[in-house]
Amino acid sequence: MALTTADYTTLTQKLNEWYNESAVEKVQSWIGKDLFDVSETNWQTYNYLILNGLAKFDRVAEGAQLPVASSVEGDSVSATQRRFGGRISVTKDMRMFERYDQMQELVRSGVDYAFDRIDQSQADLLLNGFTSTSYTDLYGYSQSNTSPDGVVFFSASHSNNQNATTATNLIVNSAATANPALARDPIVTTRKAGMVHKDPNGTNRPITMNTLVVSATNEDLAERTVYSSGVVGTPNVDLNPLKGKVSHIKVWSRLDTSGQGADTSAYWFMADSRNVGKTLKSPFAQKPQMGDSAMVHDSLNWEYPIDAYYTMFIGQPYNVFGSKGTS
Amino acid sequence: MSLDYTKLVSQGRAKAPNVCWSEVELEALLALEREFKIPRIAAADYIRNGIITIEDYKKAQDAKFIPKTLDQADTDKLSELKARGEAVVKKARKTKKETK
Repeated sequence: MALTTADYTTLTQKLNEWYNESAVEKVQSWIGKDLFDVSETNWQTYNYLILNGLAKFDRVAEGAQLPVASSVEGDSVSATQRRFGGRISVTKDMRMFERYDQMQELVRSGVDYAFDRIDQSQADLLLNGFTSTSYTDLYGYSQSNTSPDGVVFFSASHSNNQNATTATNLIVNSAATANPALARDPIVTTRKAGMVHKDPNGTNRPITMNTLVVSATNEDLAERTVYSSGVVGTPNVDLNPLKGKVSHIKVWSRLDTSGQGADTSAYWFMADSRNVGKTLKSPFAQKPQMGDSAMVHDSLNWEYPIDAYYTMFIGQPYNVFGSKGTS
Repeated sequence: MSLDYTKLVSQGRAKAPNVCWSEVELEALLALEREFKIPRIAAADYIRNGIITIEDYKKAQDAKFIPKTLDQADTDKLSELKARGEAVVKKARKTKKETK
């Protein structure tokens, strides 16, 4: 029996069930959410401030006053929520002949596409983090790729608000060559660079580089390099010290080709899983959701909107190191 | 996404409001700061004036070159704008008088 206007509610309920099933599957494969801070916010403009300070912990004489920890304000950034979305259209024919198979496919496809676009846009923030100060995102708008210090995301010369010291988050190998291809040597060098990292006050603030983020192209190489019981590519009997130290390998197929169409399959990144969300920020005012339908008067289609509000920016840059893998 | 350019520019960490340093300029800035022990804000003025190598900086020092600051450049730009308008008006008045 054909679905009539009185069946809006029934159909909407069915579509929502399909939507939820698809969304659950997509969220599981959404790698960006494992790296980015995708927490919900009700701020239209999200303000982020780096705090460098809290650098007081001195010996105190008996009865003396404890020294005050002055939290020195670091650099700041603000990002405004943007709305993204689309509509899926259930035609009169689909309803007339009860083509639930087509309707289900429409919903699944709509959900898949929404999450695919979000995931790719998040990958692009890393992939475009090596040159210039902005890029055109996959939606066609300008996206800044600098960290709050005004320097491109992956740089050997990040500055701070307090003094002239600089710090790096660009992957180098043991010969100090930047942007090396994925290999054991630069992984070891990057882990060391993270461990000896100092904040602007000169205090060692170790960053534990325990996560390797690679493209699908580099999956096998990454797993052999990290998970092999012996040191990869060598005939000796040394145990592989990286096994266990790099505890997460994220294979992110969005890294193979950027949203701008460039081959970026050699790019790879290392991150501190505990603090990566302090660097990669993508607050959502609304995660993708499907709204109620409305009937288009001239076609009698029932249209269901899928929309979301989110934004992206780079916070404290040092919890992610990156390489273009070109040298 | 917007940065605090007021702070970044005032500390010599951005070229101008809404303009970050290019990679070459940033490297030059850090090199001047490191080699000649000058504050970043002073080095920034040299870079903005197109002096982007250590050799250029030495030559500029020899020539006793004083770089123009962003504030001075802004003031000059406003004066130039005003002068352009005034020149046109003055010229028009002169033409009118001659016609009479």
